Amino acid sequence: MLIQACLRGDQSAFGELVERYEGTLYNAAYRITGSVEDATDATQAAFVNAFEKLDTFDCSHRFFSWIYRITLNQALNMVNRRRPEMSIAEDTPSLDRDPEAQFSEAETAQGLQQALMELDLQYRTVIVLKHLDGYSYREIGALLDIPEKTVKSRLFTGRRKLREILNEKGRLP
Amino acid sequence: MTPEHLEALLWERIDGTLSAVDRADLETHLADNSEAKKLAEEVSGLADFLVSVPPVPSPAGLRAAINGALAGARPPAGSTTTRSVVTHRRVTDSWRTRLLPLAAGLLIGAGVMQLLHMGGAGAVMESSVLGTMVATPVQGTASVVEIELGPGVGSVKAVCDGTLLTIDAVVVGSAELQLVLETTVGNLRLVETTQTETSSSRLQSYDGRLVLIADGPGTHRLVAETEDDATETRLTVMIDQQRVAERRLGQAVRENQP
Repeated sequence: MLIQACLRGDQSAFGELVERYEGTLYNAAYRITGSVEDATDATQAAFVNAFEKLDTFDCSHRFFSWIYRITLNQALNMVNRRRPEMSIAEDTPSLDRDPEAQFSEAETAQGLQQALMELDLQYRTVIVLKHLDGYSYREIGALLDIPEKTVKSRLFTGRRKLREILNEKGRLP
Repeated sequence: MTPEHLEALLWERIDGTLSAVDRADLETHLADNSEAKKLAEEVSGLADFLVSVPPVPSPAGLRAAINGALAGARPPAGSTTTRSVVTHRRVTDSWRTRLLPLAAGLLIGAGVMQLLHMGGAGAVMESSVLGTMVATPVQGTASVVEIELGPGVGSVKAVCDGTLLTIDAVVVGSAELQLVLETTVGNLRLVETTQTETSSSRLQSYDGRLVLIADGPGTHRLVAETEDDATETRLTVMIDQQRVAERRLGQAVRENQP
């Protein structure tokens, strides 16, 4: 197992974990923070924290869930720490692929991100976890340390607000 | 059925958590209510939209940045890992040996300056942004730069001796202090980081920079080595992500003094 290999001193094993999860974790951080820079920092800090505290990881659980939670906390802290006078970043990651072919995808992604950033953080977070990362109510509750009932309630409000925002922008059919 | 109740049922249907009884009620309601049908289409449209959103590509340099930061990270407890990307060198007695003449130089220098009435105005200067800085030439290229961050915040002291840099930070408040060390000549190598047991800090390394982030009160030390000349090294101090001081190390001059 990669974790045990890493604890035995094989640092390349952790590199494999970075390779495996870096994209997914960055994606989640970006959806929460709305900023390439913050998402990069959150992802990087999450891997460093996970590495330094690897000996505390309970191997009976999934490593991904553990580091996902660390990343999520990093991203949420960054948004909470952001000073009010600082505008919310709306920078969009550059696309290395063929711009013409990817235009529609990029537009969709950007449209959603702009709408997400208009939501309160609590609603944005549950929507990202549920709809973009595919977690269940129970898993979201565990990740955010809130009751499942609260997850449902936040999702209900968040979805409603998101629908209104996207409707106003003409993004929904 | 209120619009709120209807919307809740519609999402439950999409989530796959709708009971058979509620499903039947919902279908009946949708069959003879055009407003409900319109809402159902909107909710389905949003669900489809969320599914269609592609993942955002991560920046090209992210993996390298993570690996760089990991190189400066503390290995997990119980691990036999040795950090290999950043060169580490434990400085113990040899470092203390080098510090002794430095400290002696400081004392002698201060005494001589007092005797020659050269102290006072030349020794203390205001930082351009916040706090005060004392820059004291010691011997050769060695110097000490002290930055007072203000009451309730703390202070930073940087000792530059040849290619060796030692940054000591004392944080007394709850602010997050960031020390960013970068050089324009060659690479920076982390030698060691230490902190008081009760304090919390982490080290990041990217784009040739070493960044020590200290959270909350405590004492932190960052020791780094430059390849060639430490005078090309710059220290930026940030409090709660706001830059409060920036100094070129190894150069005991008042760069930002009016």
